[in-house]
Amino acid sequence: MRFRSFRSVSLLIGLALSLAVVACGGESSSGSPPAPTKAGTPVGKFPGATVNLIRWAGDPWEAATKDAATRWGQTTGGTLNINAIPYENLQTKESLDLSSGTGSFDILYVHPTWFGQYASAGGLQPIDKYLSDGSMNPSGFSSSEYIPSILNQGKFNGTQYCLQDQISTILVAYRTDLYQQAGLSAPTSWTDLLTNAPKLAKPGVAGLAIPGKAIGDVSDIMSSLITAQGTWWFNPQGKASLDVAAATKAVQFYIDAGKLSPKGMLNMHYDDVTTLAAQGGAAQVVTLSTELAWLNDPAKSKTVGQWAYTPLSINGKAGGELIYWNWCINKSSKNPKAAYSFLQWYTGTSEQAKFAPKAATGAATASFYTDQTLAQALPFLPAMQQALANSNAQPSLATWPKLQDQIEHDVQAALSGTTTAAQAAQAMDQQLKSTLGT
Amino acid sequence: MNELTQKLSDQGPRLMRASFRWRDLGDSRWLGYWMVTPAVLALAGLILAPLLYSTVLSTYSWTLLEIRLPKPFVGLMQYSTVAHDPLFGEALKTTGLFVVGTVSVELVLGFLIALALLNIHRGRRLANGIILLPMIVTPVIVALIWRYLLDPQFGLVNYAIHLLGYQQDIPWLGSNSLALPSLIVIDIWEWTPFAILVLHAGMLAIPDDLYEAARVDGAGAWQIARHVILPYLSPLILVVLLLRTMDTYRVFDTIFVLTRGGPGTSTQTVGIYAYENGFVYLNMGYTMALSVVILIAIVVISLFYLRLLQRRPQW
Amino acid sequence: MVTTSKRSALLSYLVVLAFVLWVVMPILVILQNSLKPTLLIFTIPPTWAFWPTFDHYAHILSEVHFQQFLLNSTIVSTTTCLLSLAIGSPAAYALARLRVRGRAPLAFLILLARMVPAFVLVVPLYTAFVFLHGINTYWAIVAAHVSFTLPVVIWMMRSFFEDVPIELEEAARVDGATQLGAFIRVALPLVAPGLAASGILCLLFSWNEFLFALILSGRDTQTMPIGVSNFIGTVSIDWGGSSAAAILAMIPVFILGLSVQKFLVRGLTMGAVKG
Repeated sequence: MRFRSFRSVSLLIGLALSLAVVACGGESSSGSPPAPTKAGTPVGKFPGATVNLIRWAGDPWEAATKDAATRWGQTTGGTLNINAIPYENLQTKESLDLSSGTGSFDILYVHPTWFGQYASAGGLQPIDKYLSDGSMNPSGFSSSEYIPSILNQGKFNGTQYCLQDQISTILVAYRTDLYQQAGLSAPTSWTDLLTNAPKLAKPGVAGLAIPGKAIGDVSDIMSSLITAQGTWWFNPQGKASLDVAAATKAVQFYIDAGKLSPKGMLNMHYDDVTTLAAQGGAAQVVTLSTELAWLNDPAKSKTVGQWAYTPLSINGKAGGELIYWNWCINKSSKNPKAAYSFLQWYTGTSEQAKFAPKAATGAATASFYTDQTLAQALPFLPAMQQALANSNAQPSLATWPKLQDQIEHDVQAALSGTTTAAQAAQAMDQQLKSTLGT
Repeated sequence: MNELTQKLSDQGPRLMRASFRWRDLGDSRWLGYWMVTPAVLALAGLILAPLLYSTVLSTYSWTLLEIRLPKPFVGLMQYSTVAHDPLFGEALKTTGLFVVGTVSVELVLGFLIALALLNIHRGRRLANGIILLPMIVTPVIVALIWRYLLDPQFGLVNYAIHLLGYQQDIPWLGSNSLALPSLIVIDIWEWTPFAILVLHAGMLAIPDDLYEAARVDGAGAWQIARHVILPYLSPLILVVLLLRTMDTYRVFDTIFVLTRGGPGTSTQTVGIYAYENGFVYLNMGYTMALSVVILIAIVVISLFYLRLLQRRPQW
Repeated sequence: MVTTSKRSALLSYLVVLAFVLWVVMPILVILQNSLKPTLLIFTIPPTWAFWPTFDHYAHILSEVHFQQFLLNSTIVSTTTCLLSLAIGSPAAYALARLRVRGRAPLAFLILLARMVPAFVLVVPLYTAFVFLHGINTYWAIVAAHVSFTLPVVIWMMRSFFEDVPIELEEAARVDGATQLGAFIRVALPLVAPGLAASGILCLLFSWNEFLFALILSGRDTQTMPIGVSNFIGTVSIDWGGSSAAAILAMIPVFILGLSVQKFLVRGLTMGAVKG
């Protein structure tokens, strides 16, 4: 009896103390209505508001967004609808919505290469005011919670439009068990990948799997390869600056890797090579870091726990393309504040960490990378940090979509043997120079 | 009524009435125009007007996202770009290959199957019913079906090939050289039934005595086909040729869903190319110029066929 | 029969059988996939015997809300065809019976309609509808669909009207009916089967249309082909779900198509062949 009353008394004291803390915390703000102190809750009430979000389809990210949408709705009283469509049609659907001005979609998931076009056409809602408005954010929040080099990607002409998530880069995963069997030591550069592949190959197991589909995969991998060599497609002024020798080396690696890859690599996307590797069909795989989670997912993989990770490196230097996605608000949206409320909460560490283990996606917040439990769930975070340490962001120039198409076709021509690596590199250089100038 | 009104009423109700009646419309000289005008207006407004609009807007340079902004006038410059566009030339070539590949096989195969149908009694009705299925299935669904069948790892086609002894996984839609032929085969699967049904209908219309006469002369099946059926059917064959050419030139749905013009540009027909320019690169002014050129091309080709048709005796 | 030889009859049967199998196999495979549990779809060699499951159908109806696409398609197609029949039947009658000076322009427009590719027409139509605030309404898609169904309806109905013996209408006129009355009270009822056939054919064409729907639809008006194409992305293709959606979408198509089997040839050749 005494024990029980002791517990209930301490419970009451604890409750009173926390209430006091909350009350004090609220009062110490600058007079605007008290925002919840918990960083993991969306801010604001939007009863009856309907917000529409459009993104590409694909789990687990789609499921994660849907789940977050339901919880956001429960907390704020609004309704958030998720429209998930095939990635190939996303840009067209968004462009059609922005140009028609109907505001069908309040929240757009925008690839960096489309961001410039949307922003320059005035289709996006600026969020500077929202970021600095105390009533729209958790108390103590500031935009410096985001890694500056990533947040800046969502800026156009000095105005902030978008928040980022889905941070990833190109990494290599390799089978530790097969490496052991072949008596090989861990690869330290991409030339190791090429020399080790034939020794690892078996019937039904490719030595190396690399995707070659020209819907961005080729561009991402090329970007990582040239970043590791210290060059980039263009300089900070937006003029062509490609080192042709480095580009030739990059294409040559791609050609050699393609020869070791399964047939049909020209139409293989990250998904295809990763699924193949997870099913035991490849000893090494070059793929997007976000798909590395599949390798350890028992539902998808027959090779759980047999993988190690390394970035693409040459001459001791790792390199990666910073791949990310932008969350932006439609200028014609009828509920921009509700949209912001969701985005601010969803891009924060608490929400991102919820699906990161399953999705293997990185957040744009600094606190994500120092989270200990995450490091356990995502064994490739060290490799990712290495690659991101020397990284170039995916281009967001207005002229980039057409350039990317040309570059990918140049590489595919070399991959199919129609041209040589040097010719492909020359072609890329010429296309960059003629579009961007020097 | 007095004599005068009797006379007037004999000359028709119209003269008697001062106000409008539906009966008047029913017999007016203008009835025909009233009946035709809505259709003419609808088609002119939905087809002619947009085409003219396209032609006008093709003289401006603008992108999809800038649709409400003022557009710079560039005259015929974009047409000059079209003329010098190597990708457009490639697209024309790819489309030409696709059209020729599909139409030729569809005609020959269609003729043969239609012939075979003539020769069977039982089950002809059922066969006719089943045969028309590929034509009426939604093209997007046809694409879905074949995407599965041609999957390099899990598709039935490669499985069948494995059973026959060849153990490699053939990447049908992922190979530069195999993608277009695969699409041609898919179109053949989808539209040969059209040729079969039309040609079969034509064969059924041939008077029986012609068949009798040939048989009496001792002609076998092949000879009857060549000397009786083929000549009789030639205007119909031209019709099928014309219609299938026009339709295959315009094909879009299946290619869009299956390969999007890839790998590389090996399956990029003029339709896909126009779509990419307009809705992926968002370069609308240029796309409109492209469309005009594409349209002129198909009109010229179609008129050529029509001329051929007109020279033939009417069936 | 072309020939009485038993050998060529047998050969013909084999040829037709082979062709029918080649036609029907792919469709049966999709039906099978829609009923297979997901894991069994990926087995090599393929699993032919299994316990069917309706999970895929349940999934696309409850989670993907595929029925919304079917509903939108129904609305668009029925509106399109009612309009096409209403506008097209009088025009067809006038072409068949009356001497109208609008004949040549109409014939030209109809032929043009058959030649114009959708990817050419969709660009100016989209632009126009942006300025008319028509995007995300059903009207934009209906208008685009009417552009290609109206010519088919007119040409088909014309051949049906021509089949009506003119004596019947003349008899009505002798009894005091006007030309319009003859049209409404004599000709129309007689071509009722033709109206049904044209209407159903129109429904078929509109139901299957993809590009106009893709570009002119908004969030709320997406039609069935768009719904099906949503399954065919490059990221994690849902074979089971897409097969189920395909089967659901094919059922109306089969019913429509088989019911107008007799007139399909006439419709596809724009009335050139009676079939």
